[in-house]
Amino acid sequence: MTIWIIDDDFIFVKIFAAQIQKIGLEVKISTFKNGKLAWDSLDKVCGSQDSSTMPDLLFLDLNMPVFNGWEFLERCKEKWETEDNSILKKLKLYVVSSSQDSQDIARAKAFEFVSAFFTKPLNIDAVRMILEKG
Amino acid sequence: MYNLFRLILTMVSAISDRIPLYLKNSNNYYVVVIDHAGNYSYVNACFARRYSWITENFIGTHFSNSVHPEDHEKCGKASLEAIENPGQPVSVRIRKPEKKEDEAPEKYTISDWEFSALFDEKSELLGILCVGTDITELARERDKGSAVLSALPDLIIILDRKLVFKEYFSTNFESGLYTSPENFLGKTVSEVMPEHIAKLAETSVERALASGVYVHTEYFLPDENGNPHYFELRCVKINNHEVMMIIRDITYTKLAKEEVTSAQETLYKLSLLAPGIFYTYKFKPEDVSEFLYVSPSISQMIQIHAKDVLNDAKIAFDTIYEEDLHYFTEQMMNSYKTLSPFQVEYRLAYDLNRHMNVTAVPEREKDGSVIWYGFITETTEQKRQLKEMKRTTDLVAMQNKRLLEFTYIVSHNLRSHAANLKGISDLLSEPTNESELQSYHEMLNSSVENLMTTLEHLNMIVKIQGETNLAVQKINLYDSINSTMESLQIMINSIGVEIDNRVPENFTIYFIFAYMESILLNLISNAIKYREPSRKLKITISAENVADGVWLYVADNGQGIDLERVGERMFGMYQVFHDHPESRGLGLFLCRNHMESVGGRIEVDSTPGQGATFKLFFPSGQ
Repeated sequence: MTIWIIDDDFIFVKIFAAQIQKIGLEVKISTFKNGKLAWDSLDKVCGSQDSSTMPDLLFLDLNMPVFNGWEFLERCKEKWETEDNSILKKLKLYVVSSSQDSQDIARAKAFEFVSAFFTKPLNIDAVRMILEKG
Repeated sequence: MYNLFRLILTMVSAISDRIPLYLKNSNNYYVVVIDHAGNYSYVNACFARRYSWITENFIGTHFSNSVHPEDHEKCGKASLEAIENPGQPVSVRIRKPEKKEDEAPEKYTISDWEFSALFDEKSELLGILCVGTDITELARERDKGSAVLSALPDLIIILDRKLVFKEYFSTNFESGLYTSPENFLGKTVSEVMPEHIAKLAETSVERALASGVYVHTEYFLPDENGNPHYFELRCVKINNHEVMMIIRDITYTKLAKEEVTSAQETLYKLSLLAPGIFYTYKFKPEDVSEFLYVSPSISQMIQIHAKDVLNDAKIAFDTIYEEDLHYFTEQMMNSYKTLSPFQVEYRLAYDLNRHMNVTAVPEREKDGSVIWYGFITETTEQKRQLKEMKRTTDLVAMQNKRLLEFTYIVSHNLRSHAANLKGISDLLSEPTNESELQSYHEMLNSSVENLMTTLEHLNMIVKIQGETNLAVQKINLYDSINSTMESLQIMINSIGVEIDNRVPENFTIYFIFAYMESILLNLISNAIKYREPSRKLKITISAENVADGVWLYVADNGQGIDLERVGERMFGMYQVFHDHPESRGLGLFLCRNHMESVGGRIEVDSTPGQGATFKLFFPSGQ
């Protein structure tokens, strides 16, 4: 299983990785420290039409430099809506933010491909559940 | 028959011989002779011509044909009197018929006659010689004159040189003398008038006689009931011996005048007290445009004089700022048409910082013009206070918004650290091996360090936000830029930056010194951070004075900013748009805070790939 963690907080990424390790599943983790880097990679994956390179799960932070989480989501949405056969339709994405703002939560959930909104910290059981669900 | 004819002829020639030639030929005097039977025995050419419409030949006709019936007796009496007193002419006024025209009522002419008995050598009565002249016009003039005099409300008296009342014309004795003619005719001025008024009258009469010109004076004399009365006394010389004195009661006019004067004085005093200008302005398109009244306070308020404005309305309109005059005229014309009051605010042409407010109520006149009753006040101070109040409320609203933003960010940031700590603690509660423990320990360290850094930032921001009492002072902008450059000297030298300080050496602004340094440091270090590596960085700093403050421009040729993407968030807290190790999202946030704390602002213009220009506005009049 391949997962992408898009977050500029390297400590959070480390904790997240440690939690996954604890669960003991075999997971390949790629990390991106801002939305722009993640988007560039995702765009490349979409361009290649090779669905095997498509990550199984994406964990996206909101507050990041360069492209924040919202900008990343907007770009995904644009591609999702304009390209019918895109492998992007397989996209499964969780927003993980320290925000508890109900406006942020509603806004995130309005994106079709956003499966859920988690407020940090992610506890280990939640991580296990998400990964097992696939 | 022949003898009778001869006799008559002899008589006529005898009569004719006795009348002087100049009377016979006179063009102004009628000359006739009436015989003992009352018949004309002679008429001169003047009479015959004038009354030829009665008969072609008067000789032998009875005098009654040319005399008013009511005057026949008068003529008989006068004739007898003349016979009884030879050599003494008897005066008589006789009305004579006038030629009738159409259906006009009967008309008479008036003539004055002198009757004398005419005798022959033997003292035999030849007849009555009558010499007359037409005084119709004169009589009419006299009647007209006396009608005028009796119609006047004045008392008109004629006095002689010795100041004796000789004659009066009108019956208004109440006027000035309070007594009837029998009490003043034949008496002198000093016998009739109170002493001080008599003196006044004497002087007037003397002056009138001496100068021959009209003399005018006024006096005060209460009536017997003690009511105040004012009189006007005029003297006109009639001839060297007589003066006409005209006395008129002017109490009403005088009191009305006093009332008007006192009302004007009241208005004047009130207008001095009122913080504004009262005016009345009369207007009719293409016809009238004039001020009827302008309170004198205008000279203190707008440096023009009331009397100049009364002479030329344009002087007042010239004080209105051109751009506002258009609206002013529009409102006034509307008020002219609808007769509804108008209210306009305008600026003074010679000082745009001064605001005036005018309110005026129109009234239509009979001639179609409109008169406005208006009041002008200055609202500059009110405006300034309103502006100041708005600035304060805006600032408070903005600070409130900023505070909310701040709490949001603080809670978000702190929570992310707390979340990390919780995550690490969760990991630690699971069974761990040595290397994991080592790794968790490092994570814990970093997390706590980050928390500390964030707290430091927050502390700094709170400190800056709290420093509201920093003094605004005069700052030399040129020097400030140079000193900022010095503190960045190492960085500037190492990468080679060209800084063009175009601000004039003596250019000053009023601002908070610490903020100025912080802003310049942020903007210049930002320009360095986000320079375009392919070209040498050039920063141009310039400033300009505008009407309401100063603009400072910091322009670079760096990477520029995609404003469409970044927009308003650019100056927000913890907003980072670059993957730069030193970006914390605080610099521009602080810049905006500093500017807004003095009512200024910061804006940005940019073309991505070409550079950016930060524009800072420092308002004047702080």
